[in-house]
Amino acid sequence: MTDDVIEHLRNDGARLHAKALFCDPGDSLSVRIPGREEFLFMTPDRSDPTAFPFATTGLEAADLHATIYRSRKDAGGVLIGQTPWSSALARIEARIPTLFDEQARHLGPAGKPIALGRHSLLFRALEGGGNVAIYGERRICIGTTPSRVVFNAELFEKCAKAFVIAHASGDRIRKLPGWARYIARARLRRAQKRAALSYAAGRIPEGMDGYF
Amino acid sequence: MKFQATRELVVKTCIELADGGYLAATGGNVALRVDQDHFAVTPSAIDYYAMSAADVCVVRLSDREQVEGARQASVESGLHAGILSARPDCGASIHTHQPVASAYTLFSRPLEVLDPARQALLGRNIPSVGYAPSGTALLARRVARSVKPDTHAYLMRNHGAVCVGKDATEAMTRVAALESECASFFLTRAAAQSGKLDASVHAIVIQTLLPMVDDAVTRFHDVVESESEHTS
Repeated sequence: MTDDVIEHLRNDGARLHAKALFCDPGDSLSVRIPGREEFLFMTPDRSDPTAFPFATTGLEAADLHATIYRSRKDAGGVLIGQTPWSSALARIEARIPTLFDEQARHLGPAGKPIALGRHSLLFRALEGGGNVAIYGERRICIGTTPSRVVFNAELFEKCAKAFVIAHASGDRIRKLPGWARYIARARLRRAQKRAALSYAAGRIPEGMDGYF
Repeated sequence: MKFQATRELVVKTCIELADGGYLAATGGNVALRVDQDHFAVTPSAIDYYAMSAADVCVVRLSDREQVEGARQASVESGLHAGILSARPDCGASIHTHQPVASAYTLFSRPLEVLDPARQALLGRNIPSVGYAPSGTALLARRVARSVKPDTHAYLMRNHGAVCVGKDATEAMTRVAALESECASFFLTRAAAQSGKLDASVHAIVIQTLLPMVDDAVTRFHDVVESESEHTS
């Protein structure tokens, strides 16, 4: 099982790297090892993934991942890193509104950017069920499966880019209607609950990739 | 496998669109007509980089019944069926989540195409279709009602875009042209906002949009050139 997880993580890292979503030296990517209180962690320097326990890692970059896995039982993968659009969102100092169906369904609501070092604010925001947060100039992306964290990273990049470009025009932006946000959020919560139950049973959850 | 060549072309088209940043995650889908009564369409919720021709579904236009493909057809099959039925001259319908055109959909208003080369590709005015959730019959109906013979791209509020063409190459050229036209619009707006925005945010927006403006025209010329070589 661990060999499969290592292979998956390497492929995910390569795909994100190719799309310039996992390139900064401070970036890090991890996936939960099902059935164990551990996760596999890697950085863009392509060194072999390292397994760390949820309890403590002894590595500052990995500690943030460990804390997320401890607090989010549905998290199957975590990406932390900086892109030009995550930096732009931090500098705009505004929460990215919920603009698109798939954003509402897979990323959930995002809070306001959180200053680096304000750990308690960050974890309070993530405990609310959102799969994305801006922390300093980095974005934190959570997915219920290793594949889903890759999709969420690509999705967030598109949403952030679209929002920043629209915001820079000065024109009025229309959000997704409230009823559509409500339905999508309920679906996201159900998927997260299902994922948490699967991980508690030692399995990677299935059927997490579709809109419905 | 039935309709193998077209189903392989759907896979190739999706990978090119994903590499170009026009599809995000599993969002967006491609439909190519295989004969008078059927079209090939991407399956629902698939990783385009892992998709094979056998995964691509074939759907009957008249009743939207899936006749080929082990996986479930895209939830937007009804949207493509409506477009291909309304436009018998078109062999391709591509729905993207391209970021710059998606940004424009947030304004919920039509896009006037100013560049003459892009106007020839897209039409003079790109309609904005009112919001309806992804994959619903309501969205398919709203888009189908907007379809016109001289308009080759459609914007869907808070969602994305659809571009059509006689084949996949022409539809993809229009996808790029739409992104360029929207980039041109936002470039003008961002330039006017200089000084009102954080300088680094302004810089990233300008640096992103500037190289995109002429991209579609270049691609269009490449396509025309390769087609004329093929003919001669």
